[in-house]
Amino acid sequence: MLPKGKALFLLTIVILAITTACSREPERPLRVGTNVWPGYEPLYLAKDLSFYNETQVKLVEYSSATEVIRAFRGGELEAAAVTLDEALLLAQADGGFRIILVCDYSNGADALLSKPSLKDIKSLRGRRVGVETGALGAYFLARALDSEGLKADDITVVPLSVDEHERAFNEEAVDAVVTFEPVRTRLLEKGASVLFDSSRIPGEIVDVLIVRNDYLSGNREKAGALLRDWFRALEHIEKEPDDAFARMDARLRMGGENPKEAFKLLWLPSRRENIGILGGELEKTAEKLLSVMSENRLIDKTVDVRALIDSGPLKGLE
Amino acid sequence: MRQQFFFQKAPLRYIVPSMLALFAAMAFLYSFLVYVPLAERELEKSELAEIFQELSYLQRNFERQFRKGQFEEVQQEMSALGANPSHEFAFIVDDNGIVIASTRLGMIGKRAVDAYPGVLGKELSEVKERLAPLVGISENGHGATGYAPITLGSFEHELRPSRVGVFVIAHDMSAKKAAMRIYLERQILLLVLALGLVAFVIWLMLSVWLARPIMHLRRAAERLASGDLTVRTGFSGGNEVAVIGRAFDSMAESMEQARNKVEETGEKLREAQALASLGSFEINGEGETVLSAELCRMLMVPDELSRLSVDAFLGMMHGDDRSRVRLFLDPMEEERGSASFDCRVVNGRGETRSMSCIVKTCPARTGAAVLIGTMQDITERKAGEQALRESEERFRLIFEQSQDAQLIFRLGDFDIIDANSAAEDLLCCSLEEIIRGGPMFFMGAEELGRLKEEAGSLGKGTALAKETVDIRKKSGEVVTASLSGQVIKLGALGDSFICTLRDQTERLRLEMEARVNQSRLIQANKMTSIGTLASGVAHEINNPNNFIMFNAGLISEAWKDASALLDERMRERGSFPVGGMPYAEMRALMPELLAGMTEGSRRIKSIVEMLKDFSRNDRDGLDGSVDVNRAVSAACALLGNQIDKHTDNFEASCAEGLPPVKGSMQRIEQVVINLLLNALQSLPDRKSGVKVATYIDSVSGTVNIKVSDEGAGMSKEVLERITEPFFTTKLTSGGTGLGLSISYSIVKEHGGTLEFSSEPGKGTSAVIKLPAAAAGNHIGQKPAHF
Repeated sequence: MLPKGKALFLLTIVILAITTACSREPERPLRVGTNVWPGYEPLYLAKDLSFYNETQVKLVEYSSATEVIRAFRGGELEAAAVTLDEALLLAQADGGFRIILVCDYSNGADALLSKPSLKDIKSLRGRRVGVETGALGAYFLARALDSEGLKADDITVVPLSVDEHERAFNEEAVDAVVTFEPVRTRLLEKGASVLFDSSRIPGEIVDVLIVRNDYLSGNREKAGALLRDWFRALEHIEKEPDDAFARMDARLRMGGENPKEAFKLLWLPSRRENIGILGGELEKTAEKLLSVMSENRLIDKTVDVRALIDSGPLKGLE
Repeated sequence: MRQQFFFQKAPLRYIVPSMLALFAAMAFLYSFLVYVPLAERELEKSELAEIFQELSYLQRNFERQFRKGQFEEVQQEMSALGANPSHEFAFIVDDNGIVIASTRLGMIGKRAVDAYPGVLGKELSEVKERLAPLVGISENGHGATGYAPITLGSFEHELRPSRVGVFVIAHDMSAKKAAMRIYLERQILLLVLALGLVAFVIWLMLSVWLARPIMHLRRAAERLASGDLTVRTGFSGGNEVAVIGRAFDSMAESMEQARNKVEETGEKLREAQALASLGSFEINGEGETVLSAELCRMLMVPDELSRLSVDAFLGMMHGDDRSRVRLFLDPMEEERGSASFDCRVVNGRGETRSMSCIVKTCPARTGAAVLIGTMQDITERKAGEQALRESEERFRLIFEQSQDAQLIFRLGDFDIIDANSAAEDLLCCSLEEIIRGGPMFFMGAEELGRLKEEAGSLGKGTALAKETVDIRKKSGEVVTASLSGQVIKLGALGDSFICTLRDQTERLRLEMEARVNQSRLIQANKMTSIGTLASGVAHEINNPNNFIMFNAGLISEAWKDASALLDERMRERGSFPVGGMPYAEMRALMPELLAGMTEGSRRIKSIVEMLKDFSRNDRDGLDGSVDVNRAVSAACALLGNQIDKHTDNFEASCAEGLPPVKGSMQRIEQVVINLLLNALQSLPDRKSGVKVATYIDSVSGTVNIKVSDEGAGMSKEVLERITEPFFTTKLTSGGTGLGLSISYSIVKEHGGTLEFSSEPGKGTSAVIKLPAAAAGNHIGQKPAHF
């Protein structure tokens, strides 16, 4: 007969084994929604390089930013890569998320392209302009029109999601289109001319990573791990650019040196730079964006920008 | 007694199925109360997820259709939704709350809150506000309504479309829930039925496989308890009851064997006790004493008395031992453990027997402690021990008192184990020194080696004997001893060699003396024979000699007379022959011849006289008192001429105050003369001297006369025969060989001794020892020289 203590010990082991084996709750995956945009590609590069081993990251690919926003609102995603103005728009209706990373600054990768016959923004008067109204496109168009003193009424706005840009432009359903890489390069190749691009409004077109508060509160380390993998991917781009661009072109489908060229129109801040940006610069940018959006009636309410930013997971990487 | 619950009293074959049935009922209830609502909630959850997904999909579709202005397609889609039986209704309201598309065409154009009473304006505005979908469950839980914002388009001058409508869709979950409930109920019922069946089967199994064998086992156990150790269950098979049954059988088997063994052991023990005269008893806390059968037999009490009180038991003890034994027989004395003592008991016949007892207190499991004890009759053993002790004492006494030295050696290493006091005396050292020194202490290595070898080869019962062994005393003096020994077995010491040493110095000396005495006896005997012979011869010779002597006188007278006639004849006729020679020569020779005859005859007479003296046994004249000094002086005076003739160194010393000796002055004088003459005649020249001295021997108390010379001396052979009659070394110079033998006889007549000592070339000394006539303090008298 077994002694009492030993029996009790064995029983505990058995119970533990049973509970761990049978009733293990599946880990909640971190679903990150993105549309196709070079600035978000490091997320996919990290996945391609099998960096995500600590966190169960599920990258959900959408054809447009509008879809990403809808999915995030519908609770289908825990995290999403969006532009700062989109984030502010989201925050207007539901502030239940935080910005934890600045993915990139667009410095020419967003552009207003037109048929070759149109030479400048003024020539757009009365013309049909395709734009993804539910997302960045509205802000970008407002800034482009504003640069030449035009108003929204001066043109005909055709709501088009980014996946529709190329076809609409080719079919001449629109005279101009507000688009971004990789569509930008493809349209340029077909003879489109650049009327306005993000290099004209430096520091305004910012892409950020947002995460839902309810996920972040219980999984800060996992969010941190995602950020670490992001920066490892950036390192890889720096060290092995050829490999990195070849891998990223699988989604971008730009071909040749185009991805490399496209990345020249972006600035992907390092971890240290990111901490600086999240620490203050982003707030200023957001305030500026808010005033522009408000002026253009792109937003109704004001948003507490400071509360939206959480540099904790990033700082936790040190 | 503790109170017993039902399940403790009832048989297992009822309890187990009852418990199972109870469990089934509980499971049934639990399932209905817990699992059915739980399942409903799970259903709702999955329904909600489905609605969300549907909403997301439709929202995207509708938005695209609105953006492209495909309003007809929106309505078509709506109609398709109506075909789904789980969809109660679906519609889209515009930013003003007017229904613009619906599963029911009649509702289009109406305000939503009016058209659909179940739809709340609150949800609609919330969805528009948050731009996020929402699903609500109806109060009865049977329905779920999903809301999703739909971007309808932009107002004028607006870049970002802000016209937002809401898509609403109502799901009816009641059918699904009912189906699920029915399914669940069936499942639970099946489970309960299965459990009931299991309970029945278990009851059956327990009845057949458990209850019956257990009853059998119980009956067997009862029989076993009543003392029937041969009972067996005979179970076989592998189930637990069979295992218990086999264990029971094995136990019963063991018990039976153990009982047989116990009985056998008890029988053997009784026999052994009887053999060893060992009885046992037991005293319990109440003071009752139980005696074993053997003890009853030993004490010669009838078996009825095997149970008695302590006092009665003590009554059997010898009166002198009773109070002492009482102390040992208290069972309460637990601290004592076990104790042993001897005592005497008076048996049934009144005989006193000695007993050896051992008692031990055993702490009893129940009640008071019990004292158990054994009693063994040791009367004979005691007597034997006494005899042995006495025997040992005797042996020790004999060993110690022995006049002979006795030593005990260990046979192996030949170490000395013990020695008696005679050995201490012989070796002149203590027992410790002997044991420490070992045999090397007093024996030579070579001799010891031989002894070891011989002792080692000795068989049982054979003894070793050595006539002479040299033993070295502590002082270094070596004595001769005889050795005898034999191998004996000495208890724990094993084979030992006991060795007896006897000092033979004195015995050898006595033997030597005896040999001398014997030769003297032989000599004396010889003398006696010769004396007798001489006496006979003397007597026989004396008569004829008398004739010769007498006749020679006559013949001389006759010759004188005849010669006158013969002279005449010669003158007359001339010379004539007589006896073959001329008469003239004869006449001259005749007186000489006649004188020779007389002389010869006289000499024969003298010899015969001497022979008579030698053999004369009468003690005439021996009662006088003789002054030895005077006898010596007279002898010296008589021999004055002879002394002067032979030596220039004559010395005579006479001790003063010598006691007189009893005897004949003349004879002692004769002896001294004899000795002096011999001494004088042995001198080779005049320079050699002769001494005569008288003195008293301080040891023997005799008066001694010593005559010593510096003459030729004698060999040992001559010395031995010197007193033999007719033994002479002076045969050529006319010695008769009787002088010293007569002297010897004379001295002997006087009760003294005549001793000679001589070595060739170193002279001879003769000592006459005569017993003094009266005792006197003459010891140490200095001789006076004269």
